[in-house]
Amino acid sequence: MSVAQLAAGRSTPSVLRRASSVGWLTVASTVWMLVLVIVAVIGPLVAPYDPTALDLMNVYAGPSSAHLLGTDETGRDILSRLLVGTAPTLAGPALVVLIAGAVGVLLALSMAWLGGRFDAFLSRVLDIMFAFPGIIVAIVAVSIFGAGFIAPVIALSIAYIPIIARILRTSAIRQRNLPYIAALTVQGASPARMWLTHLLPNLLPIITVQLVVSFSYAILDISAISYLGLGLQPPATDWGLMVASGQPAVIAGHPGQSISAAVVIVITVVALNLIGDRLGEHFDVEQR
Amino acid sequence: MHYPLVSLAMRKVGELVVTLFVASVLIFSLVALVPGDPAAALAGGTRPNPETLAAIRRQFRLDDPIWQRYLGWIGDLFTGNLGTSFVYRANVTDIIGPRIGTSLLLVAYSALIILVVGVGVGVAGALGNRVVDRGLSVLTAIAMGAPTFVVAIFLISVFALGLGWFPVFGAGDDFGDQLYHLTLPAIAMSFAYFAFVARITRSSVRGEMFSEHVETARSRGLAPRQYIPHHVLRNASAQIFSVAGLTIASLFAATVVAEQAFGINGIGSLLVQSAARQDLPTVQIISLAMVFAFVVVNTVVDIVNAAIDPRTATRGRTA
Repeated sequence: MSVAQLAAGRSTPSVLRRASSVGWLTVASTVWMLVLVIVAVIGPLVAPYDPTALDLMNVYAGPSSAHLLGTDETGRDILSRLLVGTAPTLAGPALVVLIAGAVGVLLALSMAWLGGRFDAFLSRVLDIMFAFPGIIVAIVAVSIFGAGFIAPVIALSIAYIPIIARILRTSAIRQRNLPYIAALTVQGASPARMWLTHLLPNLLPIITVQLVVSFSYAILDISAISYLGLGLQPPATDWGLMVASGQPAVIAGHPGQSISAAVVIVITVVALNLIGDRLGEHFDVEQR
Repeated sequence: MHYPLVSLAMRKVGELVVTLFVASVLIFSLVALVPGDPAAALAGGTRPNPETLAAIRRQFRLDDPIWQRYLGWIGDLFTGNLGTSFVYRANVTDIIGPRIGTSLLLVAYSALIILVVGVGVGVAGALGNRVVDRGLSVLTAIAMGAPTFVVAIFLISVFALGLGWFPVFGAGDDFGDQLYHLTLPAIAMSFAYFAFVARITRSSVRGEMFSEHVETARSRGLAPRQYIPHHVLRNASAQIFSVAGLTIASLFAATVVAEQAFGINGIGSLLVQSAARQDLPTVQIISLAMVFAFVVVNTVVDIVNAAIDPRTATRGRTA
């Protein structure tokens, strides 16, 4: 659910009114995320230059009308690299959230539903999984399967399952103990009907908030992996990789590339956190 | 009154042992996940000759059943033999030994920053006026979105290159020099965490400020300096401590990025380099050590927390 939809419930039809009732910061964050999604799709088409085209006569150029964000150590256009790098920067974390979210929701619901030993056992398993920090799991996966896009994504998906499942389990148990579930059981409703038409819709707000927040953490983790040189490999590029490959230039006094990539990472993560906070407030979801 | 605490401590230590056992089994069985010959996998990115492969088969007992191999490996760990890295052609103990002190100092330094600055900013936000609170919330929101490597780049360009106050690289020689070298890395590492702790502190202190017993104290005419330390901060401290403890436990994993960004020879940067060269024996030891540190710190935090706030000992929460 988007923030615009949240606002749609209000009676005033004016778009501006809706925006101000949601909060300008949240609207700006949502617009930023929408723009990023569009850039992720059409980035290679709108990039002013080939992101891998070298121009050795024109290295470390400052911002100009020809190169809005300047060029890097081999004369590649920084803006073009940012635009083309948007898709891989977002795709990895999106996959992590989808996989971990699907498994986490399924686990949380079945633990809440079945309870007893099943729940107790899986709770212990999740506790143990929780002891493995995401970035360490990703690094270990790289040491087995080699650096690249896939291994860290799969590893982080596994590492995020306990974080998502634990919070949802608590809410699912609270829902399961509400009288309406007992009433449905008495009426002979099938478990499938109770899950799909009652339990899941009622949990959707907290699931949404959880996924938005996890997405922002996943961007931090995947970017860090790329920064460490263990993720996506050159000549492909994403923002984390750009921060890393620009670091020697920072020391040489040309921070353009690192700073540009760093700024878009920070804006994106802050935007997602703000959207998450606002959604949580709206749904009155208790976080953590 | 002491009994709930003792039983909690025993339960927590029991959970710790189970977690560490499972973690060691998982990390040990990683070798089985590698496609192809496990001996070649343990040799890492090197191209081993037949003699090396035979040496690896012997050292890792690859011809024995897997449970015997596990027992041998874990037994060796307890006797201090961490195995051999075929990438570095050295004993893992010798590779890790000189580096571990640097990483521990870095973690301790960051933990101190998180506790002092995080709790300080949080309390200031909760007790300060609207402007102070608003300003600090914006600051912490941005800090939470700034990854360690981004903060590192920023600190290097401003404080190391621009102002020249701190060195750009390395970990330093004697203790004072080390602290000096580790200042920027410690700030970079603690940045997002201090913001998180500050936010929790703020909401926790705020919550206590509006609780009934504090309202009562206020309505009886007590001055803030009388009720804030004893009624507000004492009650808020358990939650703050537990969140701060969790973040400090996470710092061991955070050394990976900070050490790499500042070129520090600790075990975090060693883990990254070993992973890039697929040096499994070294990766196994370091990842196990990091999980170990995380779990031990968490357990200590849980027990200390129950000592601070006896309600948590009986509530039976799991962390």
